[in-house]
Amino acid sequence: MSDIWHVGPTNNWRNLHWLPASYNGARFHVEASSRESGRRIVEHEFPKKDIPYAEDMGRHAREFTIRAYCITYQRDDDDLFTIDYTVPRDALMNALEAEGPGVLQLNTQPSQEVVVTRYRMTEEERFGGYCTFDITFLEYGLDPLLDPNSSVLTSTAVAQAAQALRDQVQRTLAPPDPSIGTGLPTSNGTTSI
Amino acid sequence: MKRADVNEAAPIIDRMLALLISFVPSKGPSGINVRTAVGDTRANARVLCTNDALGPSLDNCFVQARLAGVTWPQIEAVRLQVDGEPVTTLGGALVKNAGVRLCLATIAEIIAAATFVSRQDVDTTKATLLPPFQDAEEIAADEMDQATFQSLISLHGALTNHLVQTALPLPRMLQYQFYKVLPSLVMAYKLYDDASRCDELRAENKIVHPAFCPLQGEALSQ
Repeated sequence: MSDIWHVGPTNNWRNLHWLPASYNGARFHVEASSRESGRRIVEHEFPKKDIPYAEDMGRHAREFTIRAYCITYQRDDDDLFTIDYTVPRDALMNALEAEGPGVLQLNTQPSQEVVVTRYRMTEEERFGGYCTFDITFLEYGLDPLLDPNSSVLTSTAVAQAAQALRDQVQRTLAPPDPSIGTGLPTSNGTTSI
Repeated sequence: MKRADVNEAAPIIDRMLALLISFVPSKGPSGINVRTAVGDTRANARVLCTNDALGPSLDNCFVQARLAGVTWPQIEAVRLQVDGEPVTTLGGALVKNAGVRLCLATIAEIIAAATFVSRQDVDTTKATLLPPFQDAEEIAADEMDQATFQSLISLHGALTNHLVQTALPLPRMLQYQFYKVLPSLVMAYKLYDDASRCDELRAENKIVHPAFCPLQGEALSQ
């Protein structure tokens, strides 16, 4: 008899891929995690035509919806498995409310840079020592004003441009090239007129 | 240059360099290279102008001034003075424009190496530098001097890009208001959770006595 725990030839997905879930270092248990994305498609339909055209406008921003929980444990093992469940709960809430993007590590997915748009922490009287978090993360991506491909430091570019201007000033103050008007190549290699 | 041009250009150089050298200590080891370069150029201004050999030595004066730690508002003062010089001859205009452009190049180099504290700082710098560059670009355009115009435009562009990129990660300046007069130590602790930043608050708000800070002021957002 086999169940989902014992399917497969190696049965080791848990050992190979499973990582403890955390957001910016604050760990939590995951009850359910979902990831949402796709392509931003604009479907064009034309009058008197049978075939539409689906225009691809790029990838949707990834959205992660997590149901996480913190629960009391029988002994203090580490920062998540503790007797007092409010310690990891408070750490997670602080991390979720901190300014700026953070690194989200889910159990079976590679880490992502995300922001928190909303979270809901629920504690119920019937479930003492236990709280759930419903968290929505959005992909952080890139600031469009920061050019990731610029390999030249901006200050170096300024220094180079300033040097070019100085050189130009020196050229304007220098005597004209004697070859001007002769049709012969000038000292910097261009042909004068 | 002809004699009439030299008669106008040499005094312009003299006044420009006199103002430049006034920002450097008049004795001691710091600024010794500026004093040498400026003194040399001022003494030989007429000869250099006559021989059309002014460029390298004038450029060297500004390079040495920058290395000696002259600040960009000081260079801007030099630029303003040179820009206000009335000229009638071609040689005078040539030297005047060269001076203005060298000032702009030096200002850009100083700013490229500067560190900024807040976004407002950067924005003020950017706004202050806009008119000088625009004026210089217009003069170069009117002179049909394409090469100079292009180098001015690219310097202006590189500088603006640098300032925008520098401003992005910087904290903003925010207004604060407290309910009573507090020592700067307490204010810094309340604002930043870090009492050791009290001197920063004091410097930013020009507080007279750090034990009694005014109720309102400006602080960094981070």
